[in-house]
Amino acid sequence: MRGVRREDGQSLVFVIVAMTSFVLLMALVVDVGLWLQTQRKVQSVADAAALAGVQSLPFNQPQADADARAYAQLNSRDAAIDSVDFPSGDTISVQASERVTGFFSSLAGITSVTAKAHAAARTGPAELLSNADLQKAGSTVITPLVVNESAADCLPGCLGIDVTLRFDDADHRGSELGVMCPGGCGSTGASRNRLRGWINCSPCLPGSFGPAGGTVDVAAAPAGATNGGQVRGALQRRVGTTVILPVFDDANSASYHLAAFAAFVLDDVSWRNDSPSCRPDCKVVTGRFITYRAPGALASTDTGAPDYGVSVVGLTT
Amino acid sequence: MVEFALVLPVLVTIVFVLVQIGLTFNSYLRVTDAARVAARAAAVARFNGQDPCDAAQAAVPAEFRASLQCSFPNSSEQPGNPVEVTITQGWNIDLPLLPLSKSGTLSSSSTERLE
Repeated sequence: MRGVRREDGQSLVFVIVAMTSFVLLMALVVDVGLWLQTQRKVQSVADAAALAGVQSLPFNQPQADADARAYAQLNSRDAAIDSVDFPSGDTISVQASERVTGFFSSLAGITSVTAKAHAAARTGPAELLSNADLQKAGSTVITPLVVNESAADCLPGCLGIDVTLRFDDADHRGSELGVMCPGGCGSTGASRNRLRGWINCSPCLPGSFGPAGGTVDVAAAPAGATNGGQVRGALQRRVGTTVILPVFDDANSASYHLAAFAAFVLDDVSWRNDSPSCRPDCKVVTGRFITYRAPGALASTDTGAPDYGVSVVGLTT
Repeated sequence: MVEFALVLPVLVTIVFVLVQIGLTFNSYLRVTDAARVAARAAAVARFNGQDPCDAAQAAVPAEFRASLQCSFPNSSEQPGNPVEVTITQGWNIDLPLLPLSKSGTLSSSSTERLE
């Protein structure tokens, strides 16, 4: 039987090759699965940390840093925050990592692998707001009050501190405060009643405002519409509540040009009929600027628009 | 051939173990991702006029809804406070023809700050 070889041991070779392959596959499945799972978890930790921290920007960087680290800790005791950076005043960047020990890779001399993740989040000024959207998110709404950019420029120094805003009917451009009337108002009782309704949100001021597709040039309310008890009474009922004030960067006797938004808590209202004898203190409100997280999408690029405290946030990477 | 016939069940068993471990890790990834998505939905629920926990429930696949737990560690649903979402799912590795089975639970939590 020359030429016929014995088949003893043939399976042994096959089994050795198969077993080696299976052990390597097992290492791949178990260790790589563990690494992937840890990487996803660390990414989740970094995302949550960045989104928590960005809520204190752009006004309070130390608080943003502390919040990012606190939320990383809440999400994982094993993941470490390697760094929290602020590439710009409105952006937070978080690096997180966690060491993963493999079962099989340690046999190959790889004792551990570090899973890393990076997340960056940005805050930007709200550029388009409507009462329809704001009402879904709570009771804070836009009333017909507007604030002069020069008055809102006290931010962030005046955040939470009482400030006085005056509305001088004879000088819309120079007033700290204004009253707008989309669609136009006259000096009639009907116009005053309309303003009263908008201040009390019954019904709320309609339409959308802001440079990103909303109304930006809006009619100013004449003195006749803001005199009398309707507007005064309505504003007094707003004391203690937060309102969104569109910020105007230019005005004349007939209209305001809107550019941004501020959030304001009304603490006191002193509202008298316009008269040369009391100007510019005829119509005065006192209150505090605060920050407010608004509904809406973050602009895809940083437009560099000023942030007067009403902002939206989002992950950028 | 006789040796191979003897060894084949062992090899097949190993293949089954491999597949089932892979499926288990896949489940773990899905649970982790679902917890993250649910927590994010809860964090921004206010903007849609939704309750945070209802939004978390709506954001995950139906298979995770029964086990989803939603809580507020500071006992406050106001913006700025944390919301924690935990999702739990069972795993099970059964070996064919052998009376060996192993099971347990996969759990993942995610905590986000309410906006």
